[in-house]
Amino acid sequence: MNYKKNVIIIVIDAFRTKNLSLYGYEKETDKNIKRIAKEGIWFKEHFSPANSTAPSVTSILTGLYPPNHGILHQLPYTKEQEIEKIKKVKFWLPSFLKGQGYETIAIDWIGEWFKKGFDYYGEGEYSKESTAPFNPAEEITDLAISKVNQSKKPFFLFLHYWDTHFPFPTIKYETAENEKDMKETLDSIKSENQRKYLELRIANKGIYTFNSMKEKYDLSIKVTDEQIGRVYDFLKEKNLLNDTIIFILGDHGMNLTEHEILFSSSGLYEDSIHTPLIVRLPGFEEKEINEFVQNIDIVPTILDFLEFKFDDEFDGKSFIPLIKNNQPTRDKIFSYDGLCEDIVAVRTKNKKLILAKNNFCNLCKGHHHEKVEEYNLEKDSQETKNIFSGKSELLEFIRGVK
Amino acid sequence: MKIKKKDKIEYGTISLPMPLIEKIKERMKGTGMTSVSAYVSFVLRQLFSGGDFKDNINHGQAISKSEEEEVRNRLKKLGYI
Repeated sequence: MNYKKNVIIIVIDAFRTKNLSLYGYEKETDKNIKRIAKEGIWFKEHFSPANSTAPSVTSILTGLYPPNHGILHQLPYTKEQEIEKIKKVKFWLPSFLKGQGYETIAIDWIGEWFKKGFDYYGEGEYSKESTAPFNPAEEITDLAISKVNQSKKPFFLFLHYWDTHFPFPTIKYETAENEKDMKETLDSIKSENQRKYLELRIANKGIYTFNSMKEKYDLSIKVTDEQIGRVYDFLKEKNLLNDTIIFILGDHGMNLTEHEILFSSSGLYEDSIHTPLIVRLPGFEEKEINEFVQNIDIVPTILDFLEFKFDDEFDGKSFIPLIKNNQPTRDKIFSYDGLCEDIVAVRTKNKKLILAKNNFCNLCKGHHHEKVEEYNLEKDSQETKNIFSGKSELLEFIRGVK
Repeated sequence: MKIKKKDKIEYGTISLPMPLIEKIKERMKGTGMTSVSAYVSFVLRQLFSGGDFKDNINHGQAISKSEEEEVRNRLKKLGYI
């Protein structure tokens, strides 16, 4: 009987597959995540339904794609009508679990509509004087463990790590003397928008070269990975693992310098949306899954696992049949650009189409996509050659969906 | 949206006056709750757990000015503004 099992969702911000050894990276940045994946269910083909936090996390908590829950854009670019729409959404995971008698705990800071349904929402003491806009991984892990320790009911813990977000303000990094020339870095950037954007973001942050920024990203993953290991070991020590469903995932990815997108998740290329997902479901053996899943599947999976009957009003599907019987959940994934005005992507196993109705990027004030881009991912996994020739089955399909 | 438990919990029946049921239906609009029973169960659970049910099923809760300002400051530090 799985009713009243604890639920933990751990979100790591701007967390792409490419920098984890689990997904083939040459450095071991992810010792603990790899360990947990080997004891659980490792999804190799998880794609975020949006490339930014607000729409993606809202999808996690509603089981809906961004156009259906309303939040299409990242804060502070979210429009009033988007917030009006989320107020009317029928299902909100924290409220639902609270209604079932769960203690609901969120360790996060973005607030707004995300606070709803949580008994506790926050990240403990935060000093407004801090140069980092959030508390470091170790501190929020302490808080999460203490909240779970105090809980007397089944609990729902939503834990959001931000250390992996550029410019990695909580990560200590010693810049080598020969890596302190920011001018050379900025001069190498062709796009004026990108240059201005990066200059503003790295000013006084102690990182000067692309190499040092990439090193710092790897380090931020290592730091976060250690804390996730702590949470996992705590659950083990407390004998809670068999009573707890765990999801560990990236809310969206990140471009380091690929496609000339500098240290942001803008655009809908693979680095922005292909994100890790590791799941632990008590009673299920370890497994690797090569089929598509999206974070909209998390709500239906939780309800299915906790033995609730529900109708088809979610966009996501429980991936329990996929785990048990290898039944694919979907043959296409969708993703929406929450930083640019109006861009959507549809991807099959071997093709991807990106449709940009309005490609203005609110973050860097530039543009990252042509009006239509299509890629043959079998031959061109790096998405370098746009093969769109004026007609495309995927274009017709996506127009039908929108 | 109908969500119910899969055959695990036993349920009993209670009677409420019709005018009260009508008031409950009015009150539950916009909460996402799909039946009077679900709403009443939710409210009673909150009552027993000492929680404040008004704000927890409604996304319309206002965000205070200072909260809004703090989030903006943090977004600024992250480069979004």
